[in-house]
Amino acid sequence: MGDEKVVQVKSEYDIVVARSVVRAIAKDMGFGLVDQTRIATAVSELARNIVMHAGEGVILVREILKGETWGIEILAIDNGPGISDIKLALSDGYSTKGSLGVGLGGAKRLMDEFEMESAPGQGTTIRVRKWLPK
Amino acid sequence: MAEELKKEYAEILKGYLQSRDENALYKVSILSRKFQEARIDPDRILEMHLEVFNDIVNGLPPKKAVNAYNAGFEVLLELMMGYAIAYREYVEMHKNLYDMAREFSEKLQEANRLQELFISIISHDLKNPLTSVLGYSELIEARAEDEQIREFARKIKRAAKKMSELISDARMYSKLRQGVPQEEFKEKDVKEILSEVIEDFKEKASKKGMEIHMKNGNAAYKVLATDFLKSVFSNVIDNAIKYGPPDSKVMVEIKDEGAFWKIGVRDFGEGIPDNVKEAIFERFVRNDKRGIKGSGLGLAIAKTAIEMHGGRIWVEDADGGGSIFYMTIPKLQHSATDQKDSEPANAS
Repeated sequence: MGDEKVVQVKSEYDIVVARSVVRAIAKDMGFGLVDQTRIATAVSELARNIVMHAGEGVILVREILKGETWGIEILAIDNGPGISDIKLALSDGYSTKGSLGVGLGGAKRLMDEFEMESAPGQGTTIRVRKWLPK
Repeated sequence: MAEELKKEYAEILKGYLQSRDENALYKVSILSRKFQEARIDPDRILEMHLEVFNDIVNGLPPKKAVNAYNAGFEVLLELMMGYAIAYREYVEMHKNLYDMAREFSEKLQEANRLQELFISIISHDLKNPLTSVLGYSELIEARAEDEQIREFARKIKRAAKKMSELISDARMYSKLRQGVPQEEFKEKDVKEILSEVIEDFKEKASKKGMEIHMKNGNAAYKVLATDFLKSVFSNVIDNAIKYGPPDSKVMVEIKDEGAFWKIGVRDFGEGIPDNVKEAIFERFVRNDKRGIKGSGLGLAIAKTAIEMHGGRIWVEDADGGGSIFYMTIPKLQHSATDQKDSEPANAS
């Protein structure tokens, strides 16, 4: 724990890096293949969102512990234009610029926890978590 | 499309089996959306995966094949995960569209209600002053000594009459749209109504040298109808006179069409182009603008009214030129004994 990985995200190539970093951690932690895929898909989406809307940002990954439950936490941070309508961005039908196609709603559904802070002109921070089944 | 996607998938899968590269998985997750967009069913995807996979691992030594099997599963999982999300999104999007359509439809209904309310208010409020205009213009026409002033008075009267007709049409249309109470439907005879209408329009027709003929004899043509049915016939026959050439005929006929009476009104005019044969029954569509008078509501009223009676109205080209407007109205259903009496032809 306390070990934190940071991936700079600027291009499509970085999305793949972020996926692979996150997947490796999830695998080490003991997440099963289906969960690994869920997490990787969610990271794809978060990273893609950064590239499409903010141009660049970072993906942070770390292991977390709550009580006796281990989990993986991923933060996606950018200084882009921000999102004025968070509710809309999370609705499944919402996918701007023909991105990966998975709206942010997809990330929300794939993970156990999802938090988002954003305002126009102030960038966006998204935090997602998935807990390791006991 | 499916074949192309399969090929693309096969290449990525092959690459991944060799390299175990995350990039391949990322590509698959993007490809999954295309599978969804191409409406390829999930079971077909599984099948396709197996086809592609078997092709690749065929001939590999057992141990390598087992490793490949696991890696292949990772790729398939990535594909199905992306597919499921894309599908979910697709469903949500359609749900959103459905909600929007429903909301729009509610607003539209509200707008229609307001419009009808508006029509019924203005029609009442406009009629009264118009009566004064008509009355006084007639008075001027009768009393003025200057012929030019009398001519002006006639013009005012014509315009006021026209306006009065427009208002009546609008009011009738509005009333129809609001629905007519059941008790206004009474037993009537189609032929009697038609005869009345023909009588009403005799003078107007003869001014153009035209005649209105009805073929039918003395049989009864019973229906359940409101007073609107007469307006429908009036409108159609009025049109036939308007659009028919001078000295031509208007032919009216009632036919037995099983459960319906079918009324045909034929003119010898220029006919109605195919592309507007349906549109003329919409509001404010009129076939031409060459000085033919009418509010453009007439046929819309006729359509609404005839449908309210359980029938239809449409127009066809007549053999030898002109149009035939057809209307159907359900026959009045008598009790079994009545039916025997009225249909002796069936007994023979």
